[in-house]
Amino acid sequence: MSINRDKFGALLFLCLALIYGFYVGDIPLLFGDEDAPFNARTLPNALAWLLGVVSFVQLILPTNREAGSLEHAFRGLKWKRVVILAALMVFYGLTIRQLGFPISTSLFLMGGFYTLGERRPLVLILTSVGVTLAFWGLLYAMGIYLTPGDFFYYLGWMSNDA
Amino acid sequence: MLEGIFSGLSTAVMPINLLMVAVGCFAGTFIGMLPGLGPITAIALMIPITYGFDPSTGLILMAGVYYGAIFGGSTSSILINAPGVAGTVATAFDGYPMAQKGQAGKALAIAAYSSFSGGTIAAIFLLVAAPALASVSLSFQSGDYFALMVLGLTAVSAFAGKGQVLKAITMTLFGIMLSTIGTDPAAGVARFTFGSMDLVDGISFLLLAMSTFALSEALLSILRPTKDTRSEEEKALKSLGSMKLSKEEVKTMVPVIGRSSVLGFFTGVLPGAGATIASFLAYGMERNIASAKEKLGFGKGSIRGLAAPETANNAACSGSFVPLLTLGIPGSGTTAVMMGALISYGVQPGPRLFVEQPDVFWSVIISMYIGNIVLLVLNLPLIPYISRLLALPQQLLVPFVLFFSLVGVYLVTFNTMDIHMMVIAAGIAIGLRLLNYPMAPMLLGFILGKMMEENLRRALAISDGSISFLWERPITLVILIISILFLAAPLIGNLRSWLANRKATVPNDGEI
Repeated sequence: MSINRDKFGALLFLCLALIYGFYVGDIPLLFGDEDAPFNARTLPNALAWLLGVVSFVQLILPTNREAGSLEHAFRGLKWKRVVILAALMVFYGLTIRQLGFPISTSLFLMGGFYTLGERRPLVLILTSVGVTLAFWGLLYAMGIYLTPGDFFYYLGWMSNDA
Repeated sequence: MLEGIFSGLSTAVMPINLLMVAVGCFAGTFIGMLPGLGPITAIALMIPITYGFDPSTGLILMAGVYYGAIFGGSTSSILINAPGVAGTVATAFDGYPMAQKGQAGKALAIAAYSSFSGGTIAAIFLLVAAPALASVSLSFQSGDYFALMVLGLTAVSAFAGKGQVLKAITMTLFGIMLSTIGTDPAAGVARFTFGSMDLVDGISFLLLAMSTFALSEALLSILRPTKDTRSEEEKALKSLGSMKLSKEEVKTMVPVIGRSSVLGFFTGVLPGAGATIASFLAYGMERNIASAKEKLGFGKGSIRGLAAPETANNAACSGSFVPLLTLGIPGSGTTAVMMGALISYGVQPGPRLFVEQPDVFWSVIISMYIGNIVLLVLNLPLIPYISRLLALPQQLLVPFVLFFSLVGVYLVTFNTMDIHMMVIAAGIAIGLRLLNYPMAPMLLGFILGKMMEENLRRALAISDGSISFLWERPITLVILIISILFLAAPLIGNLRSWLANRKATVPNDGEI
């Protein structure tokens, strides 16, 4: 049995409304705010109710057959390359401080090009390193200095001494 | 007013601003041509660059990108029947058949002249309408602002496509929910931060815009690979044909441009409606008023069918600046991104902008004329060369878009956590896009959510906790009634069509 795409979306948002509504109770209130006409919980409370009602209405309304099944919506998608690109972005976030902007950006771009099918070594290296250095230089010219990376300081190749 | 216009003119003609208009138009044209990447992505990618500039220059650059993206979208619509932007879908109806007849050059010229005329006429309307509306809105109170924001949010949902109304409402609410994350500005208490210091200041607008548009659109193009249109485009560019128009053709275009400019501008002013709706309305109007003989030409390369949507979509772009500049309420996803950028420059759009920072207000309006001239004089002859940039293969283009999105956000905060949050937000956005949820209402809800809460809180405080402020002032009441009508109209329409369908499918007794 496959679920309708719209119904699945509505179900997700109904769950979100319930979870969001549950956590509204965790918002601390200042002394005396409990009885105030508007406090930090007022809007979140209203939003949880509204989203709950809207998604519930979507769930009980007649099924929109044009929306198709969930399986149909997710069929034939090339997930592998997207997952690798997402992993590369996470890697970029983890290394931009340690390896520094030039190296981590070059690696990220190179990895991205390779994932999407570029196999010519010269294009891979020249494009990624060239664009990175050009962008680094442009930032420097604009007064934004990005350090080459903590890694180089640990190795003693760079120093913080003025 | 004259003083303001001159002040705006002197700001707009500064060399840096002229350069930014040209750069914006070029960059916008290029990004707009890429199927899948729209004006919101184009503008979002420009925001980090604009941080180094003063607000006028930044906004001028973004406005240039906006027109450029719409113009670029028209080019790919005409040449390869692949609209880069939703607002140029109607352009393909008659633009592509013209290109197939070997008149691609003529079609591009008609699109460029129509865009120029539509944009220029609408900018004149804006020149008159914006200051007038700004003066009126100076008398607005918190309750009125709250009502206006409700109107903006409901209108976005109401103008969503058929069967999309509830989804648009859902996404608007989701956007407002995201805006509640962080420290409550009035009480100073943390909401939904779950103890994370990275969430104390809330979710950055730029992060949200970049990940839900630029990142997710780029990743979606990988996830759902589309047909490679480069060879098709190259072929179309080789057989452009003449760009000259005959006197007869110009005569046919002039009244169309006049009508479509007015229609486009006023459609653009309406919150929620925008270039897409304006272009379809103008196309429909032209077809309806055409003679029976002319009607037959629509869809087969009609000049009227091409000029109308092209004029209207550019006029709507100028019109959408009216609520942004005068009321501080973005009427579309694109102007929501611009508003977010303005707020991050420290400029609060709204009626006070007209009084306190007239140079920003007027220079943007004046730059619209300059932007339209740049599009006509520079972009049109350069289209064959700009299109060559599209030959950049996707395996190089997508990583660049990802890189510029990530680094654009990182350069503002220098917080690596933002990069990880972007990956998560892009993942969620992709999931929602696959479930057919629109992203623009979410962005609008996010921007307006904080302001709406602030105004509601203030209005309640002024009226001693009573909700009577909703009907005490006629203006508040009228705005709220319009909001209810906006919301009710599509719901009633849906209900009626459902009842009609049900009636049609229930077999009568005689058939059993």
